[in-house]
Amino acid sequence: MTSEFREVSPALILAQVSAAIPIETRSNIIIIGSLAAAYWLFGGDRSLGVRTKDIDCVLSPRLTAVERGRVIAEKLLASGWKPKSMGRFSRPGNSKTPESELPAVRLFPPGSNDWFLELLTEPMKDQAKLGWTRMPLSTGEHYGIPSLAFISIAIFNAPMTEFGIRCARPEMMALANLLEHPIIGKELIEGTATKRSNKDLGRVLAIAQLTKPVEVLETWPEIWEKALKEYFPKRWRELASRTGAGLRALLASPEDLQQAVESCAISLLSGRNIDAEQLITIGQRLLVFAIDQLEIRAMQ
Amino acid sequence: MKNKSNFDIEWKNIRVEVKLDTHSFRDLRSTVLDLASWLADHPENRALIVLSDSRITDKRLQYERLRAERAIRPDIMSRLTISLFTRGRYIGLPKDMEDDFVVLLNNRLSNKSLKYKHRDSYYDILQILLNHWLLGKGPVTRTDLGDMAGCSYPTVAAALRRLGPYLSKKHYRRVELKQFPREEWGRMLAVSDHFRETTRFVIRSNDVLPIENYISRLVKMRIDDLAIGGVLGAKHYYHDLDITGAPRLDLSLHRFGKKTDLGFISKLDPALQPIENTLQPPSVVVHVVFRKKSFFTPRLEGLYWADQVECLMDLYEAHMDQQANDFLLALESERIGKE
Repeated sequence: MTSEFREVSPALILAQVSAAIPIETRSNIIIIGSLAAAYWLFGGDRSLGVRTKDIDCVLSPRLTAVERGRVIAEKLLASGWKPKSMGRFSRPGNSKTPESELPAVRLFPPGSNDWFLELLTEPMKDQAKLGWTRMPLSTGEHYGIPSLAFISIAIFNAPMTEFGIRCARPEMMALANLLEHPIIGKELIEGTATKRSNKDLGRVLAIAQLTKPVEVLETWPEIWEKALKEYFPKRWRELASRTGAGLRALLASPEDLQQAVESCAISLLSGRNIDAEQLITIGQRLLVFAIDQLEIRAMQ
Repeated sequence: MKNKSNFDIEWKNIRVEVKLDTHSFRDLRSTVLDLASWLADHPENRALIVLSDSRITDKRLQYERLRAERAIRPDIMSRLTISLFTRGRYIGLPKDMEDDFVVLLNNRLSNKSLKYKHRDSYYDILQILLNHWLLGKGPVTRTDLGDMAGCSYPTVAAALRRLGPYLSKKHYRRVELKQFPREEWGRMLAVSDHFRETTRFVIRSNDVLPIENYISRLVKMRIDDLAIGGVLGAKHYYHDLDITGAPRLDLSLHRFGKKTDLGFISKLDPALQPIENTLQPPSVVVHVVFRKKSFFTPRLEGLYWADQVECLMDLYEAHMDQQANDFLLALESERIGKE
């Protein structure tokens, strides 16, 4: 895992993103990921930064995602935002490029390489894995908007911020990550030896660790159940009953847990000196206080 | 197959079966099979067999393990550990089961040894007499004492002989305390950790849950025969007790004729860690009430209140002598008022 990320201020970035995008599109944007978690969990302490590279913006609803995404991307490009030019799929595609090979919209703000904005959207009904939606720009360049199976869960009931755009609830992002990883998968984060599951499940632990007071964890099953019933009315019991499987596997595997610790140390828990023992403790609390309760609800 | 509550210890995802003075391979094999069967149904759990003071050697144990490996699926055997406890040390205990788990194990081994050598009901009888005396319930017959303690008539007679100087004998072979038996009380406090099987827990995190939260969680968990004692219990009986908040949660678990299972603690808060060091202030303390009649009283919001004697012992045990003395005085005044 690289440690190229610089600390960025959640509030400053939100202000910058909000000011840069067309005003009529603000209500269609929901920020997810470390930045959203940090915005809610670091509380009023504006001095606290979060180490993150990508600012994930979900376009919602899916129905208008292409149209709104195009408006946002064209406005940002016209304002001097630069597409991320490194890595695979770094060049825009065209009408002949298969959807799965289109690059995502990843734009650096003018004069900065500290972070980039990425556009995503909600999944299609019953979508089980990563999906892509074509987004042609008026220039003829084609981009793709990625969607993950549980993004809708992540953005459920996302509250509005003072910047006119919404930030996902930490507990909902935690649930989305738990559902996304019922096992420790083999997929690695590009350019690293870190498993995607370990990073994402590590983020779940980081969110739980930063949630204060700790008894707030007991309130999570209720909203989790509500979101699952809304987006997966037929499958919610099945999904709820496997919510903790990946986390239990992570806690039982010292090597995977160590990767989670390292991921947390360069992200949400940066500078907090959290070790594997502390993550195990919060993981066990999360299981007992929230996940077990959701699983019990699924059985009733 | 044993049910969940019949395991000696249930800690996190580990089930432990402690075997005292087991020398029979048949017994060991039967336990291995029982636990293997249970593990097959619980893929996320682990199991541990501890042979304490057994004549089975480490070498022979390895042979038994190889034998079991031929019959039991590898994924199950990898989660089943057999270890020895001999001459005060463990052999073959997995590395990640050390530290806090060993504290709990030591505690259980020590308590199991005590029970194995027959519990002395003397202090149960003393507590019953104190409860009757402090609450002004009047004299009690030897038969009733035996019924309440859950012990035989000769055991009651032996205890009463020892308490002779403090007893007042009444008609129909009834007895009651003449006064508060301070010397016997002091002796009882000195050994209360042993006869109440006290286990102390500290929180392995900087994020501490309020005691009220623990209580509401316990209510939801619907644990049978669990009572609140300590400061909260004493305050319930004596509102003017000079303390504003409880520094710890004292719980009394009624276990007459049942095995003690503290598995509920890891469900209450997995950050609770058992400790042996009595100088380190605990957050939760569990005492076991072994006598037949618990003297618990129902608590309106759920659970029970431990009786006054239990609460008084908790206060002294927590070194809250001033509050304990005040509570005792209050109980004595109330008793005099009833006479």
